[in-house]
Amino acid sequence: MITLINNFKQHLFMCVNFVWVLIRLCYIHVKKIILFRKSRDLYGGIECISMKTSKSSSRLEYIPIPKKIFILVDDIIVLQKKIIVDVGQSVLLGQVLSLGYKHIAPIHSPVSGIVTKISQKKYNFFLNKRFSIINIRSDGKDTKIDSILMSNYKKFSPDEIIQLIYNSGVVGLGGAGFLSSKKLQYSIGNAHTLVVNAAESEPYITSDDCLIRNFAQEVIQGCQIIVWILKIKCVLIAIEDDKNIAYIKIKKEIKAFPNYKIYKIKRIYPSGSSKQLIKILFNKEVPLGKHSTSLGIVVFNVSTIFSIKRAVINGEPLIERIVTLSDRRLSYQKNILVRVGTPINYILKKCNINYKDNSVVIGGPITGLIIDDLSFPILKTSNNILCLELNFMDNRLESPCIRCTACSRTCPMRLLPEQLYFYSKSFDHNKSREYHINECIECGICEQVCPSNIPLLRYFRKEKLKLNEIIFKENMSKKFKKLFVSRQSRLNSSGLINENIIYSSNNLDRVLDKKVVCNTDIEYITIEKSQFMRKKELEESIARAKLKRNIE
Amino acid sequence: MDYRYIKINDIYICRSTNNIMLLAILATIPGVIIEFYYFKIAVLIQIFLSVISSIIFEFIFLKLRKKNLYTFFLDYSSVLTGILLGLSLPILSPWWISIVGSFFSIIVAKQLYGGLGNNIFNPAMSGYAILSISFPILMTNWSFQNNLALLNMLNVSDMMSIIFFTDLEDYYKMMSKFSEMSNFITQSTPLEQMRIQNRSIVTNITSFIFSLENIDIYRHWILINFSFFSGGIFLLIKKIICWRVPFSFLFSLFICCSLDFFYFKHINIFPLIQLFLGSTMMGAFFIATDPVTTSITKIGRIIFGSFIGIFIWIIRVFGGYPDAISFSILLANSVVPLIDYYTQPYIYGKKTK
Repeated sequence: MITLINNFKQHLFMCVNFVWVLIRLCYIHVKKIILFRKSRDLYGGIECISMKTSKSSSRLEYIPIPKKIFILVDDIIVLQKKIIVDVGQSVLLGQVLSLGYKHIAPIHSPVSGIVTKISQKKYNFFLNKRFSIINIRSDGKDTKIDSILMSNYKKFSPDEIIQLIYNSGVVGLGGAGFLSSKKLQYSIGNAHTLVVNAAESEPYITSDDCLIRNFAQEVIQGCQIIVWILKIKCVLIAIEDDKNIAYIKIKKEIKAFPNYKIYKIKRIYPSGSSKQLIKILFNKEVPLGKHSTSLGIVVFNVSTIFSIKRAVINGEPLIERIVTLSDRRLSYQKNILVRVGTPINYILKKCNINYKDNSVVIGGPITGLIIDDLSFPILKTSNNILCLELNFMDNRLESPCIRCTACSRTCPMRLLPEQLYFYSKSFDHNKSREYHINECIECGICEQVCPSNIPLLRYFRKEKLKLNEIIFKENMSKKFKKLFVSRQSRLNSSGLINENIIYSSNNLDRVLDKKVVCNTDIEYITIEKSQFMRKKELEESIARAKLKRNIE
Repeated sequence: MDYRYIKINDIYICRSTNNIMLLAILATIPGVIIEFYYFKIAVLIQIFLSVISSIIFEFIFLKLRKKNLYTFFLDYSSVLTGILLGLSLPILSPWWISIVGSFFSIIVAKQLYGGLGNNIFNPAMSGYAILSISFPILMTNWSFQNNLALLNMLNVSDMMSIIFFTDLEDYYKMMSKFSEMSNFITQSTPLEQMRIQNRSIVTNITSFIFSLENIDIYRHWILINFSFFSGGIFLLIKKIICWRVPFSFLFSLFICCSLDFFYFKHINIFPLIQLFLGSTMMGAFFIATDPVTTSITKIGRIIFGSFIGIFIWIIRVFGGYPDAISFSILLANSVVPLIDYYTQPYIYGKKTK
């Protein structure tokens, strides 16, 4: 027995030693995790493989101007009759095709030529909304229209410059497409720092990197314009740590300015988003439901700044942009300068890419759209074209959620996607609003990390649309109730309520009976009826208004 | 809105559900091997029976529910449930016990709630709990597992005959025979045994640990638990389970046991050793961390784990059942929706308001 106990004592000593080593290992591991978290300062996010070749961003390629150009125009602009040009009219490069309305910027002609057609089309993959398309046939001459330019911009007032930026149609080219003139207007007097966002964290995209390498000086000039407009004290340029050449080039340019700083940030996926960038750079969070200007920070994308510079100093409206073109296996990757409105199949044809076996994605691989119709044009906000094999999602069947929390661990907004998925699947709108579905920035990380292959973003977008519909309906019903109550009170005060109801209905029926006997064609009757009703209503309302005036 | 999603493995390599389940099955292998070394072929028979029956039940029920068999059947969750149930059963229990247990765990606890991902209670543990309520004598008979000398006397054919070819009355008779043969008090885990035997007041800790007479009763239990612990560490390194659940579980159990050891003096086992008795490690790393039935928030997981630890101590000391893990895990599972609701994290930008 004693020997056994002694044996066990030895074993126990070994065990204790082993446990002590394990505990130390765990301690080191945990310490590492905590330190790592501190250095990157961003909650969640994924470190995806960047799939970028530095060779692609060094050279900017050009393709000849296409003969046909399609320009998407939002339906609201057509309804408001803001399109200036007619079919058959010849347009010059830079001529205004349609004026801006509310949050939509004016659109310019990217080529000189003739407007051949204004048609309407609906793309299933893009917003599921009707667009009217202006078709332009170019004559290949590129004759420019005379434009206003403010090469000495310090002589003009900020408002004039902002108006010029609005007129030349500059929008946020990072992806949101928000009017940059409006952003500038909001932040006059509020902002003290300008953040230049040069971090494209999404894989495959190198267009911003290419822009900085080729036009670093012009980017800095654009920064100076914004500094002068907003009276900004300090400028921060955020760039990812794998873009060394662009970093060096910008550092050379900003030597003369003491208030310019450049930061290298880690390559984690949603760090290109403005809210996450602010968290990384300043360790502050933008309050819920407010913009970054409430912290005194303005965030602009590099390409937006570049186009602002082009608009102010060179007088060019926004008609060109750099687009990255790449394959899934990176057998080719290049940056091309393309006119806005160039159809995608033209670009692919010019670059000798066999697009018939591939499915084409516009935008990044995480947030992009798969395109069915290859005549879809390049928009102002589209920065990437990706060719993938057709059958890449054959074996991805949706299996049930096992609540593994991979999505909530990586969500940069600290939401709970598995709860949101559950509620949006069961149409529990109140609960999903309670769990902040509207704060989702649609970065698409939850889809990428999901082990069950659930298309989470699809559910969230549907739920968001439905919530918007509900809110819209509530607002409309409130508005009409208000109108109805006011009308009722008006009628009561005038004392007309009884006469109106009795006489109007009787009169109508009597007249309509005769009409029905005469006409046998049903459609004709309905048209007649509606016209007659409208006439009757008009007369009555005029009479009522007259009466009201007399009473008052 | 027609929106198709893109998922390319070139960008980010993510594990699929069946990959996760396969790795969890792999992690149980060291535990199974050690148990096989001590308890011979009987363990494998129990595991085999429960796995096969649970797969068959799953197949039948998915056919009845008219589900797509490819996605639902190939996720290996039923295999994992079967292995865990087979490991937690007494080794020489009759063959129909494991089939009844897997029937309850697959059909009642999982499929009737709506399949994988919708069950509230842990399937393996709910099957075990139902068995231990309905067949208390069979399920609390752990004498073979504690008495290794007796097990060594049995052949493979003996074990087969005990498991497959005995009526229930013969089975009870045999139980009593074996218990007469053995020197030890039966019908209890080492934990239970300690509790009954030693209630002496402890003065010196180090001498006390080795003062127990039947120390070789629980030596193999410690090894088995250690093998499960190593499997759990493998899962932690692979980032399949979250460290919060098992560590808060073990920590709260350790604190409760040490409080008991130094102050209340109900159980006289050193608290660190108590973590390695019974099926504590298997419960901590394989059963409590089942992703479907745990809380999804970080704080919620810590609360969940510590809840289980406290309940295990309470049932071990004051309750009637020797194996407290199944009941405490089921109790904690029922609280999960409440924990989830009250421990929502602050979303981006809400703290600075």
